[in-house]
Amino acid sequence: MSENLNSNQNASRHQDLARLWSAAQPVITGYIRSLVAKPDDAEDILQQVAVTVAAKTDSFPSEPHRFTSWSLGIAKNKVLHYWRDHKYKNNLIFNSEMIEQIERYYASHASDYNSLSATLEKCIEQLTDRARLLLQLRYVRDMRPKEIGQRLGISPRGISVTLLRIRKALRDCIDRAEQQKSTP
Amino acid sequence: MTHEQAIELINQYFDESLSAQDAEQLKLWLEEKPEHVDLFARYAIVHASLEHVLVTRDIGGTLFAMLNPDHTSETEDDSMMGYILNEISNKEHDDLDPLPIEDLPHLPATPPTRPRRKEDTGKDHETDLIFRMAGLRMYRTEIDPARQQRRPWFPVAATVMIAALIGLAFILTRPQAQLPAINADTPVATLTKARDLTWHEDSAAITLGDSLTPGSYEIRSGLARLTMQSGAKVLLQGPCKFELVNANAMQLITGQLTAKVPRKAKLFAVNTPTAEIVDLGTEFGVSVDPSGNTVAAVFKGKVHLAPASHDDDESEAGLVLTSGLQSSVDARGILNTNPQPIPNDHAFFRTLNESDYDLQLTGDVRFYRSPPIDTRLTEHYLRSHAIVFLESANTHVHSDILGVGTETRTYTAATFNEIKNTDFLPAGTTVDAYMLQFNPPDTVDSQLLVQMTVRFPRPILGVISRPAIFRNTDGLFGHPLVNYQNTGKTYGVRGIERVDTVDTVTISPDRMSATVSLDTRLVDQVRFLIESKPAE
Repeated sequence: MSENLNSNQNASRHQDLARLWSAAQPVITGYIRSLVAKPDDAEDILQQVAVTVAAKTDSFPSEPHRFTSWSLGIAKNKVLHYWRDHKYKNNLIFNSEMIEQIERYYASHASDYNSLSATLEKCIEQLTDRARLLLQLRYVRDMRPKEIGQRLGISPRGISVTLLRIRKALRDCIDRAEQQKSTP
Repeated sequence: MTHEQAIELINQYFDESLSAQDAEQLKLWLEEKPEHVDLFARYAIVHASLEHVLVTRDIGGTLFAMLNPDHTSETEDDSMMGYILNEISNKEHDDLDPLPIEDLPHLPATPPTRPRRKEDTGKDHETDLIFRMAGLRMYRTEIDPARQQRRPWFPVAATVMIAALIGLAFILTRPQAQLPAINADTPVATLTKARDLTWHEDSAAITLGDSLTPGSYEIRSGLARLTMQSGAKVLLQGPCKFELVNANAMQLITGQLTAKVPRKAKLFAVNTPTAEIVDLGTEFGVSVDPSGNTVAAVFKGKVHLAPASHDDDESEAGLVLTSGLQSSVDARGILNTNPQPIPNDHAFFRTLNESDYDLQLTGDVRFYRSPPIDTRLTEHYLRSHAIVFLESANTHVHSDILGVGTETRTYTAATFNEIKNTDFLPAGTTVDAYMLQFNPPDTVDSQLLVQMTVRFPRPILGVISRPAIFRNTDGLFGHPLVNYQNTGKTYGVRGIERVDTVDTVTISPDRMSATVSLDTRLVDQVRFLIESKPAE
């Protein structure tokens, strides 16, 4: 009987963990992607975070916001380790203070991350078809400016500058939307 | 640096196109003020969210479908790519441009065409498979999986991992490779690379460039890379027995292989006597022992692993293995549903010669992909084997380093001592460093000899095995995570022993191999400096 009870409790904890992780994952992914430019490396780190989170079925916070902050803390440690590990072959851009500051930035935006995604989606819809196709090549097809430029016969710098303009425009669009929301 | 210049560098960082010099500039700028880091974060959140939104909502894919009504989902991925590129290159005008996005530079002008809306995209096997896999989307109900076309595994990978780890079963309908009809005379693969390859006498002797038709083969020793007609590249390690089934499927009867499967060859299948492994776009390894125990390890991407079906029961359960994990099917055909991390000392060869860690090891030595954090920690090591790990890569040597053995000869502790002021690694060299270390068992009652040969992918330019030279070069060549200062129980004594001449390091005449003999009484270290891979 008590065994059944334990087993039910465990199943319930697992379900809670899965639900919380599902909600937190975009924020964690975003944080990692901000600090690790290579998608494959970012994916590996995300998986390491998932492994660590999953191993803590007895100790994870059950409140969603705290869970996300807690998971970000785990992700921060993995990112710190990554940068130390790759120091000898990569350009070291971020020091530990920066990695922590960016973690705090993500933690403070965790609760409105979904709404940011929704705003971003609307902003993307306002882009030209061509700009959206370029974003698809960069983000969905995972092509770097050099590869895109080679295929198009355009200088990689031309592609980089266009991507920069697109991101700036999207950042402005998000800012405007947030301003409108905060203005009664 | 101006604000605008900094934003440009931040964007180049996101696009993985930041030069080393610019990375340094960006670093200095970020260090200036916390506000700069906040500005970085403001753009980073857009960058990271873009990927999330574009991949999970598939905005680009939907747009593509709308623009290209003639596209069917069976179309090759490349042609879809070609279409997108063409679309970007050729469209002159857009009637939706409320944001200040300028056209791509230097675009040729052609009249715009207004595309028809696509009626029915259909579903190809891959989409269908992803759809079914997203049966594990119990956590992701807000996303329509049928709209996830490309890289769907990135946002779901960790969800998959969590689901696997907490024991929630993924009951997938077994993905079936879409296989062409078999013709025994039709070549299905080509031997494209080989190293020290010998075939079993009962097996046809295949030489480089030869085609292989469906049938049974046996490798006695060495490595063979087969390029399947489908594009999948399979590296077989002898000894092994295998059967080629068709251009995209094979059976591994005993032995080991690794496979790299490009997108176009997705669903490449490896069957073993007890298991079925179907690639889902990936790099993976499979090993089968003589009793049929099968291990599948995923280095990148994911595979579907299931027990072999002995009837037509399509509901046989399997699991999706994601990168970094392995699992097994035992000789009875029982699937282990709890994937484990791939151990550091796994024995799969992943490449023949391209990679930094492409060492050919024979004898009492194992390759460690991750270095030991502290060289004192003997539990990191196999007690009967030495370990070798990559310490650093592409290190440029700015001044001559004395005491490095650069000749092709046999070194002992005595000869390392003799050359300490005469031989040197010259300035201007660029090297990768590998550490070979043996921490013997705690008991020193029995003196044993461990012997090994390490074959490197590029020539050995130098070898170090004296304590002073280690200390002088740890900063330059050492791995940043390894504490080299306390080594084993023989504190401070590094290198091979001077007690007698049992310990030897021999550099082969072609500089590609080192043969090492070490006795088991004391800890031994040898640092190899090999020529770095030329920049691409």
